[in-house]
Amino acid sequence: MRPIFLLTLRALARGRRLLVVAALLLVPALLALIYRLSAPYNQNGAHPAHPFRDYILPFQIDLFSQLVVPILLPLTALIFATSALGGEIEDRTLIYLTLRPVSRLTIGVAKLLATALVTVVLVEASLALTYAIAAQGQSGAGDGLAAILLAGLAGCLGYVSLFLLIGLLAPRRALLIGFIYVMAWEGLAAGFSTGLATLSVRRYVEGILHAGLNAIRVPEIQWPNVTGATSIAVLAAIFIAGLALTTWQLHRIELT
Amino acid sequence: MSEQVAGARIIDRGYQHYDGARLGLTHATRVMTWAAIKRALGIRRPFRHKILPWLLLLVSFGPAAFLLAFRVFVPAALGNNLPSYDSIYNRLTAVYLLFAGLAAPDLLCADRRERVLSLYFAAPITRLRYVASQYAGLVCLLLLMTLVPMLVLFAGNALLANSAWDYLRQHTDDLWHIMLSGALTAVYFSALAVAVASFTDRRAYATGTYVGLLLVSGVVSAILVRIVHFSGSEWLALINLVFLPVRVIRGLFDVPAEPALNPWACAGVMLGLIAVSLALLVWRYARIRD
Amino acid sequence: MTTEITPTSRTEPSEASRAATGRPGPGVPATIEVEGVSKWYGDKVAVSDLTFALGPGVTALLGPNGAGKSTTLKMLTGQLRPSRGAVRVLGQPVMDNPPLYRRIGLVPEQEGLYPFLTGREFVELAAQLHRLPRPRQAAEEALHTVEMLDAADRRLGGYSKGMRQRVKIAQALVHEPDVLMLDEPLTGADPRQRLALMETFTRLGAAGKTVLISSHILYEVERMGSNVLVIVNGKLAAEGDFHAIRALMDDRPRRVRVTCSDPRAVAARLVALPGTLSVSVESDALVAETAAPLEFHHAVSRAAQGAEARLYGIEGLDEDLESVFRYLVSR
Repeated sequence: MRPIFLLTLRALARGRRLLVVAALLLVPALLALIYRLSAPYNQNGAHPAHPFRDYILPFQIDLFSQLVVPILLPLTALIFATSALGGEIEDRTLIYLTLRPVSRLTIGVAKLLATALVTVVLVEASLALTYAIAAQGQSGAGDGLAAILLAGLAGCLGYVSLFLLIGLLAPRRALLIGFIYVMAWEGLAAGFSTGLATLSVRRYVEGILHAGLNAIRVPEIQWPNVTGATSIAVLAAIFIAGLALTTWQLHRIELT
Repeated sequence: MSEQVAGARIIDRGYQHYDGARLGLTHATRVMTWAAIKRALGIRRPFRHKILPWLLLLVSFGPAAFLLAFRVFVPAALGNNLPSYDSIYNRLTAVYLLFAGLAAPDLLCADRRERVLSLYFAAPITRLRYVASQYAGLVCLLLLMTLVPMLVLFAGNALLANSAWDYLRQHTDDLWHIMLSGALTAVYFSALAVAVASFTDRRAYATGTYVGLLLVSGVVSAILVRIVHFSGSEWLALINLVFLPVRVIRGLFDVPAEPALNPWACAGVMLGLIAVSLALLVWRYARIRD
Repeated sequence: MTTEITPTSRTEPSEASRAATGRPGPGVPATIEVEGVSKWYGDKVAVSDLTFALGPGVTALLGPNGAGKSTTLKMLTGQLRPSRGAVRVLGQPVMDNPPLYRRIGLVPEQEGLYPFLTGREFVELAAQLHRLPRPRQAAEEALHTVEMLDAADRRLGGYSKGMRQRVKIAQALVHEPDVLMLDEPLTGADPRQRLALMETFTRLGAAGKTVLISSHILYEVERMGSNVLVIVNGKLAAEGDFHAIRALMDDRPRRVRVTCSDPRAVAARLVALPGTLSVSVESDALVAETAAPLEFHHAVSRAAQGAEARLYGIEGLDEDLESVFRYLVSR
């Protein structure tokens, strides 16, 4: 498994694509820096007692749920995951992995772990950096970080597993499908009935975040009606199901 | 050469040199522009390439058609709250954006991916003309979507008014505003789309990057405007690339926008972005080695 | 062989490779078995009702473009599932059977490689995935066989077409498979490299491996062995030793070239034979088409004697693989 794992790491973490993704993930950090420098809660002579708890953390959470969760996180996962398997099919190199005495499950696991590692490292680094910049030196800093990082991690794992499968099933259209899923489906399903919304990864990421923040005051966001435990369970199930289906497809795939 | 003897001849069907008239570069560029238009619309291509472009085209005519239909058949239903031209432009922004984002990669990326650029440049077509013809084709199509429906709406309004000539005389300004708005919007979204498409070979990446860029710019500008407060910080709203044309259009029609910014400045920024995009496009294609 | 014409030496298989002919037989079990295999995509039939068996040795898979050769090879390596019929390699079904792949090597037709790996890393990756005890060493040997050691540390992205082809062959050889399948392996190689590679394949065939080569370069393929599979329009057109196939094509006249000092005079006598269909005269030889080759050969020396001409040589013009192939394709 190790050779395939290392191969995929090298394939993903290189070149222009890595720079573009890294640049994209620096945007929240940049916004946090601007927020920190402009300190809008210190305007007009007001100096609140608990700036972190009352202003900075809500801003963080706002940033997380408006920018990172709906756009940056799924996009990062989509870019890497569709390339990890779908890209191999498009480039016609998958045969060099499948025509070997290696079980399909091993291939699936290696690909999934490598993609997850690259995605998680980049996303979590971005989240941690953003938090550190915004929270610098404020009292109460540290609250909510665990919730944000955990939600980010769970989201990465869920999206990566899902998009890896989509990349395998429809290599030429995977980016488009993933894009429509993230923008249209998850964007719209958030506003509709809970029935449709159960099929949205974003919902459970927000659920984990909400659960992790329960003691802390949170801004007026439309939190989904789902508990933290359920969210973790569902995302874990998506992760496992994605791997299982990917392995199943690797058993029966035809390489034209 | 064919051989001829009294009463019979054998015709040489081999390779012949062409000595006739040659139509010149302008003609070639025109032909390429027309070819770009046909390609973006999916003409002479399998059906699935026609669905999205024609759908978007139809949708762009939708508001104008519906408004006129309402005014003709059910005038009472609308009352006096007629949607203005700028609000229609606002609503249709997504349609223009999407069309440009889908068509530009089709026109530029496919040729690079299939490596046929060297075939084009082996003919007297220069790189500049190639790029210009693809851009012009896209702009023509977008003009079809941004100008024609509005002009039809205007004509409809004129005809439905008590006196068409009076209406024309009173609303000549509107006519110029429509032409300018349509032209600017078309040129702007096309420029951004071709600039992004010139950086990658794969259509999916190009469309995704273009749409993603615009979306992210929208979200980021909204956040910035909320969190940053210093004098002049409302200019940060210009980061929202999607809304920029509508600001200028609202300025033209004298409708206030949120936050209120000088429309001339917005127009300046827009023209600047167009210039930068086109410069990037030309620069990329000057450097490409097939 | 049933004809008495000895083909010119270029088509004579060597002593060593005669042992492993590519055909199964008594004491030589089939290594590749294909039974009633068809593959279709909707209405389009790529390959129809193929049945053949191959054994150790070199076999050539021939056919015009689009005949179904690549499809057949892909079904033999588990890349495609037959719409009907069964494919067995080394006695086992080949689809979704990873343990079997330890003994199969494939040189695919397509060019895709990992541009960021060096040649050495790519072949080592293959060795590692095959769980070889010393992957680095095995990779070195494979690269040495294909003469890629010098360029082994450059990235695949910068390789020429011939280099890419050779590195693909290296990854197929690194684990010493029992069955080696090659889809157009000689493309892009210069003549000297082609000779070296052909020698490698012949050696593998003689050593008892089953080597199946799909190729267009007929005159090179026939140097490696005489067992052929000819696929035309998705169907099997002929299989077996191509000399024997040629002998079977007896409804077709033979063309013979007689080099002598007075071709016209000799031709005049040969045209009188009842079996002679046509004679054409060149400056130093004549080319005759005859339906009765045996009588023709008996008559040539007599005709030369009678014409008082000196006989320099007799050569069968359509004994080679290319003629056999052309005939089969045009049937």
